[in-house]
Amino acid sequence: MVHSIDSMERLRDELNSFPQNESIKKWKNQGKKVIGWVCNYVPEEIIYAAGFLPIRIMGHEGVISRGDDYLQSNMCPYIRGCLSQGLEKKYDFLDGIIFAHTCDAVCRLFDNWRIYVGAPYSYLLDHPHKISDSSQQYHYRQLEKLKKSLEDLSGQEITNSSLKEAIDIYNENRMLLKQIHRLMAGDNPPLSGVEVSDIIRSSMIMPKDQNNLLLKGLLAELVARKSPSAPGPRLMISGSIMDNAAFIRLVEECGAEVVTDDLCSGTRYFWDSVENNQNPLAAIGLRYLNMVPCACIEPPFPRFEYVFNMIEEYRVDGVILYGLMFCDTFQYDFVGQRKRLEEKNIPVLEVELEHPSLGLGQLKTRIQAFLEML
Amino acid sequence: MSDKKPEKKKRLKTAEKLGKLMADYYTESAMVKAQKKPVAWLSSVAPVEVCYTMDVFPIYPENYGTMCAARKLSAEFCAAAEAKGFSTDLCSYALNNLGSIYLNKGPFMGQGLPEPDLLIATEHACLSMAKWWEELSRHFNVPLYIVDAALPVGEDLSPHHINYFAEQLRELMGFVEEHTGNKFDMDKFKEVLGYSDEASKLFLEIGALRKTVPSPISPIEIFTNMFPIVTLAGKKEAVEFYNELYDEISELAKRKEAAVPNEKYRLLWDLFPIWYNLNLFKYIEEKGGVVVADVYATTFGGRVDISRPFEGLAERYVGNPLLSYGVQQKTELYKQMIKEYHVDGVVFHSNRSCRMASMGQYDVKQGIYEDIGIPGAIFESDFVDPRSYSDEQVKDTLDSFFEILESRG
Repeated sequence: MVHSIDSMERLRDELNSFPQNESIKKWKNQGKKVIGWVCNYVPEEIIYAAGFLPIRIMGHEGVISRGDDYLQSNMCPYIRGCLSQGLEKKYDFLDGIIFAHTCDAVCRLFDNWRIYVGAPYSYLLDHPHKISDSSQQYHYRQLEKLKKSLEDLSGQEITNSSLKEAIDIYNENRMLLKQIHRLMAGDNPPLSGVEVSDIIRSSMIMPKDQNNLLLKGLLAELVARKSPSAPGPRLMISGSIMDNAAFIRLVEECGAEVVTDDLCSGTRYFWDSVENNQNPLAAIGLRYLNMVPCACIEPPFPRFEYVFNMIEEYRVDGVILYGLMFCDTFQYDFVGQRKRLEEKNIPVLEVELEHPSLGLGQLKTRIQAFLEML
Repeated sequence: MSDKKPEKKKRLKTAEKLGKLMADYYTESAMVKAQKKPVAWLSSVAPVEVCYTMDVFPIYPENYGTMCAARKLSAEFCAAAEAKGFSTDLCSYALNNLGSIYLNKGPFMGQGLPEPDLLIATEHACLSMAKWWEELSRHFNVPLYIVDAALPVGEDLSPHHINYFAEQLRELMGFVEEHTGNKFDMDKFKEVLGYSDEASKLFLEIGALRKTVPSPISPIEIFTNMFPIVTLAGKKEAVEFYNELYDEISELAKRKEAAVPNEKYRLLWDLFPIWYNLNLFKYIEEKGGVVVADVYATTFGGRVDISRPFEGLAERYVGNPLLSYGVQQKTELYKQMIKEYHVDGVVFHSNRSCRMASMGQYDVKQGIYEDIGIPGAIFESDFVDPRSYSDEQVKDTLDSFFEILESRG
């Protein structure tokens, strides 16, 4: 048996008691505001620099969607899950919401959240769907507007030095997550894929400075840790958002090691840093504009390249293309992505899930068959 | 019941002219390859004016999708795209088009569309457009330009939203120059914009004539008369056509001549027609219902300030109600339209293919009812793919709705 490690347990606690966990309570007890966000394209640094705690809104493992009462059934299950949590009053502690308008589903969640859940403050940030010079300018103007809105909310100016400080703390978090994640590239990695997923998601909730302390502790503890699982085929999961680790758990129970991913709730959350050497708002803008893109951003090639680099660096034996039902942009990409992978003789399993954590059992035989093939 | 004999004589005199415009366009599209004229495939609400300025022939795979559906080919085409690995849940405009390419079949002399030399799409209507066009670019191995429209849902429109689109229009002209060798000419551009603006103005005015009770134009007539504003915006022919159509409809309005006899209930329609079953409007009409307002058609109209050509053209596309309104804005818009068009009820077509436009329908329906007491009904279907269409279910929903309308007197 692998003994549990301290920092890992504490990171897990943050997730288990989510949404309203200890660190959020502590934050609120200081009279400070908490802002819920949806979509990786929300620039957390600006929220943090305004003195607010940004946390990612997620659905809940195993909860059947109350969101179905308000949304058509052919709607993104993640979005339905989020709305359900809101309707169950799990997010009533939020002082505001900021969503990025990337995919159409997020936009509609924003509408529904405001009507049926309610939020004292709400902001929808239109993010450009394209990486180019003109989109950079547009994006910068959009960030200026967001900054102004947050200043109105806090009643205080967001200074360049507070932005720079936020960037430093966020960059440190990204660097630590990357250091931990790189351990997965070696043989017998000291963490399971489920643990890695939990670590990453907990960093989306905790105040980053506290999270950084825990991650440092974790890095130190991992030196002596043995691999928690027997060696198995090394897999990468690529695709839609995954707001819990249920699917990764299933894959690992079948005998694989999920060593890396191409998910906005995984490595894409922290892979790119902000170049903190210029006007901080512009620097933040560049990071969010140019980071490894979601499938809803054009062109898709930087993401495909990212996947191939990951496959090499992490010595991946096979790729699972994971699509949430009705997550159109990824579903379109999978056709070309599968071709590209197969041309390089990389085995691919494509799965489509109706819910991020429910009804997974029926996938077991397909995953087992895939692993046997590897 | 409606007469089953083929309708030889159309009600509107201009119908013949419309038929000729369409025939001319498709005849030209069949010859355009032989003439070595560059062909661009455009997504819906992409700036077609760019093509007419740059002497590029525009093709609309979506418009084509409506025709494949009308000629009962879409089921086969959608299935062909699915066989290539595309999810059945994706937009049937896209699946239909991709499938027809893979099968190399289509409604015109059995052939598909002339292959593109260029691809131009906007993400304006939805993200599916960009992904679909990426696939086209991969398949045909031709260059793609995506115009990314700002979608300021819930924001007030600011100059930077417009400038972003305008800037890309300038880039797009350069893109077309680079790949066709055709040179941009400002005078030509302004001429095209003039025609586009004039056609839009007329098209919107024709739509507004539906405020007359009884409505002088039927929904099928409105939807079929969209062809010039979608495909020929920027051409003189579109202006000439809408001038004539305007004259004819305004004359009917003056005489209070009803497009549909027995107009009892005036309806607002959200959003797409069912392209393989336009007869549903006939069913509605048998019940005394007439669709007198919609934002689908008007989405394709939009004015252009020619004194600022690029910004003016951008304004035609950005900030469009259908494309960038949230639930609250849309509810307000519909409440306004209900007043202006003397509407008794709202019919929502929850289109399986178009999540972007269908999401939020429950909330808009609820909002309208709570605020001004006008009832609505929602039915589900797909606008192009007939494979899971249930005529009974749709008619049941409509029947119950008419009972509600009747009980309200």
